[in-house]
Amino acid sequence: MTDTLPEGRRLSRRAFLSGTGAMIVAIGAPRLLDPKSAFGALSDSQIGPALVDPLQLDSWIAIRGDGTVTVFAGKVELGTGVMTTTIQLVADELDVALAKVNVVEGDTWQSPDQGFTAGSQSNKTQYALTGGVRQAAAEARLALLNMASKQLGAPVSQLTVSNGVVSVQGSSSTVSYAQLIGDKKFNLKQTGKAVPKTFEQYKIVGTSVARVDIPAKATGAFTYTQDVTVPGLVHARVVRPPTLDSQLVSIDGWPGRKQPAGVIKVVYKDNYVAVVAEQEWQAIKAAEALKVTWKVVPLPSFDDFYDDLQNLTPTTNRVLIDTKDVDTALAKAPKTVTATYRYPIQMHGSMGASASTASVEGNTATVWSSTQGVYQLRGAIATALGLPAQNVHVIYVEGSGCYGLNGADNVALDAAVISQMVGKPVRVQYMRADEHGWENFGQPYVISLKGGLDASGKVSAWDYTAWTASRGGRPGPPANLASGVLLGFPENPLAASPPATPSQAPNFVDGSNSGPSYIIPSQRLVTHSGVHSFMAGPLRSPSRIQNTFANESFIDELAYAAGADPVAFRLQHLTDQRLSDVITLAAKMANWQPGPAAAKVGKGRYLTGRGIAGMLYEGNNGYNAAVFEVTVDRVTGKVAVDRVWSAQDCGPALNPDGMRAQAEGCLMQTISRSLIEEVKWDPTGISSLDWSSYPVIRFNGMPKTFDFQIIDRKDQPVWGAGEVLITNGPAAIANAIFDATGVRLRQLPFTPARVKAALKG
Amino acid sequence: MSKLTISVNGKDHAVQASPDTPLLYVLRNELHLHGPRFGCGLLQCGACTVHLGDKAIRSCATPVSEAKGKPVTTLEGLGTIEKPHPVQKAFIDHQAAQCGYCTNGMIMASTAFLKQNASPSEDEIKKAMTPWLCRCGTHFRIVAAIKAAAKAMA
Ligand code: FES
Ligand code: FES
Repeated sequence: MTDTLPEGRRLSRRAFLSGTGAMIVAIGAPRLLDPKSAFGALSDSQIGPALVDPLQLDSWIAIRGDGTVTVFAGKVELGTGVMTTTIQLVADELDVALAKVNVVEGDTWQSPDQGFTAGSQSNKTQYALTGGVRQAAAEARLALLNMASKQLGAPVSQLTVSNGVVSVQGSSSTVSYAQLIGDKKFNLKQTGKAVPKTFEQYKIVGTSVARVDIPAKATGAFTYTQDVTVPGLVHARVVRPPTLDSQLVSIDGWPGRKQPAGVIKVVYKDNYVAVVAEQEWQAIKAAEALKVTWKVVPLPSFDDFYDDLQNLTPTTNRVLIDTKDVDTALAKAPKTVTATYRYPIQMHGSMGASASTASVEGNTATVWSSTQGVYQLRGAIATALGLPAQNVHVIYVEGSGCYGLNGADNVALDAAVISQMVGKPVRVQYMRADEHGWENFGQPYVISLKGGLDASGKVSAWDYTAWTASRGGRPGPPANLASGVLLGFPENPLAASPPATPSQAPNFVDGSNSGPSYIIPSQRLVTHSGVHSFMAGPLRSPSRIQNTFANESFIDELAYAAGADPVAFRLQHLTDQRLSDVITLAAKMANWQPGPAAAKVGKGRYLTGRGIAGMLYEGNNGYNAAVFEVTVDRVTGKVAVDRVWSAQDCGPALNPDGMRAQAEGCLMQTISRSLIEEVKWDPTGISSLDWSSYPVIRFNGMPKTFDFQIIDRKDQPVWGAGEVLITNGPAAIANAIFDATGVRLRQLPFTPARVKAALKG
Repeated sequence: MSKLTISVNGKDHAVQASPDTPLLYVLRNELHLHGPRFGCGLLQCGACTVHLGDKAIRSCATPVSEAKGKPVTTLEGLGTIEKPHPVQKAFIDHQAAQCGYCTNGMIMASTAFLKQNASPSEDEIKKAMTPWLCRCGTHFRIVAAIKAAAKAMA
């Protein structure tokens, strides 16, 4: 017996996107406002379903009576094309047309918990042989074929599927998926027996299918989180203290004691203040006008920041690898090199300031958010509201590109808390300064490296020490986000240092690219991480880009000391053939001229040079190598990236054009982060509060050309393509500047002032 | 709070707003036009761009009172999924969006720009578009789409 699908599980995300079908949220369609009426069918006694059980096939896939297929995905579209590659996968696995597949993504009442959509893990997870959408689709296909076999009286081996219709070979009898199960549940546990198709068998996967969301985005028909409205909605703006640790002394009211028009309430708790008003503009003006007295706890010195970073106490200390012979090997080495690299605090800086809409009614809450983890955010909100997680329904709606933990989770916490305080559905939209100044920034690093070269000019020893700091992070705990801290929730204590269990492996990988990719017999890697004054969280290529900046700069410094060509030197130290392949290909694409770097430093004003960097992302998530060509203006210190060549291997290329789009985005961001971006502050607060105090790359910073080639390996597992090229940028640019000028830059960003100072010596 | 009539996408709308309210909030919250987007409210990013007459303006810092007597066009007024404007079509064909949050500004700005310069060079496009911000790094595709749109409209 199969049950009928409850209405709620039939909502089509794609119809929603294109504005043609069931709208999940819209003016006049308050369906989800009363969770019980919309989803009551899912559970008798509880507010939401107890658990979207990932073992149940129905948690992943539903076939509707009209032959469309709905996929419930825990990995969401962040603007990178993941919804499209998920649709490709399901269409191919089930043999249905692309247009028949819809995705419901990130909904704590509908989609399975697949963790965060982060770390370039989405396609890797969904296309894995087990545990994701690929397996579920294969299970669904097998179940459908078994049903068809019974119905048509033919063995499964004689069945073929095309466009969702099953036929018996050599006969005219057919049955469609919709006839077999349309609008009914499978009621099946995943067997683990269904074998997905191979990448050679896929016909749609591997082609450049156009993104399903772009037509709506280009015509104004797309609904972003910022657009979610519900009836009775009121608007709120947060009022932040000067610094995170400042304390609220008093709320002094309005100038002239005259409450501005439209104000409903000023809400506050601990050091948290927000203004609620009928209309958005009223909330903005009122929040600006509200007088609040704070006891300011100043931020630490900006100028001494990197020194302070190396002297934080206490710290969590980790010995990642220690072959116990590094000191001896360095002492024995005929040549040694030492260098210290500094990576600043940078921000996600989303184009759209984050927003969220929430409705807390009694003991239930509905929250629309562009979070990367609906389940994890649900935990934070439930804690903050004092409700069981079960009663909090978090629904993902795409926002502005986030590149990690931007303001999305923080603003959702705001919306939920304010809605509870004011007893109305609330939309909170951050102003630009709220987004810039209060997001979870990327982590700063100081990385010090010592290396030894043996008599043959090979690297014999590598000694790495890193210092970093963070505070907070992704939800769970509310105080991982700035609003949670201001609301007085307890912050996580610093983790204890784990006992040193030094590894002997010379090609150690730790998921953060801490170690070099190269085979070096003697290695020591030690990290120290402390807590500092700034909220921190993952920013595209977290820790990987910082480590790769240091490691891929340092291997160049060693190559230079050895009088070797940077490409050949890398290849000599590699046993990983796939990494060697991308490096070799990128060099070939660039028509790389072998020889030591900086051999021909010119005399004129403009100096041109090339640098390379390559790595295996996270040790198991995508290869990239890139050659950057830069021009350095000796007079102004300005660096321009002129041409870039890059080769990439992420296993099977699922959507080559989509992969290229990700590489282009990585390229622009990595130039921006290498040349421009650095969060600044003074004792009274963060000063990077808008696009002029924290500028990023624009059209005038584009390279003239970008050549990109994919090594497509259909026999390998799928790896991420979203964070690989960005990781190589800082080192490749530093190496290119060195090649052009003979001067090594070890502190990001390479601003004109910094470059000019370095050139002067 | 006062009554104002503004003409948006070819239709007159009576709206209730204080005259200093930025046009953006009237378009988004009163007329439910979500093409124009809030990015910064500071004239720095261009996400809020609409046309006032033939000019691309930033609605986040343009008081609604300035729209009196001048036609406003938003992204929705240019074309639809079924019948996109040539510039919208070029953006779709070139897959010139990632998150798409900047797309409104890019399309509105380039549509106005192409009216002034019907066959711009690549450098002219980059120069004209530099005041519009894209954080995802979709620049290559946006430039390609604008070039293609210019050709298509020639
Ligand atoms: S929102 Fe108007 S320029 Fe940024
Ligand atoms: S596509 Fe995301 S900001 Fe441009």
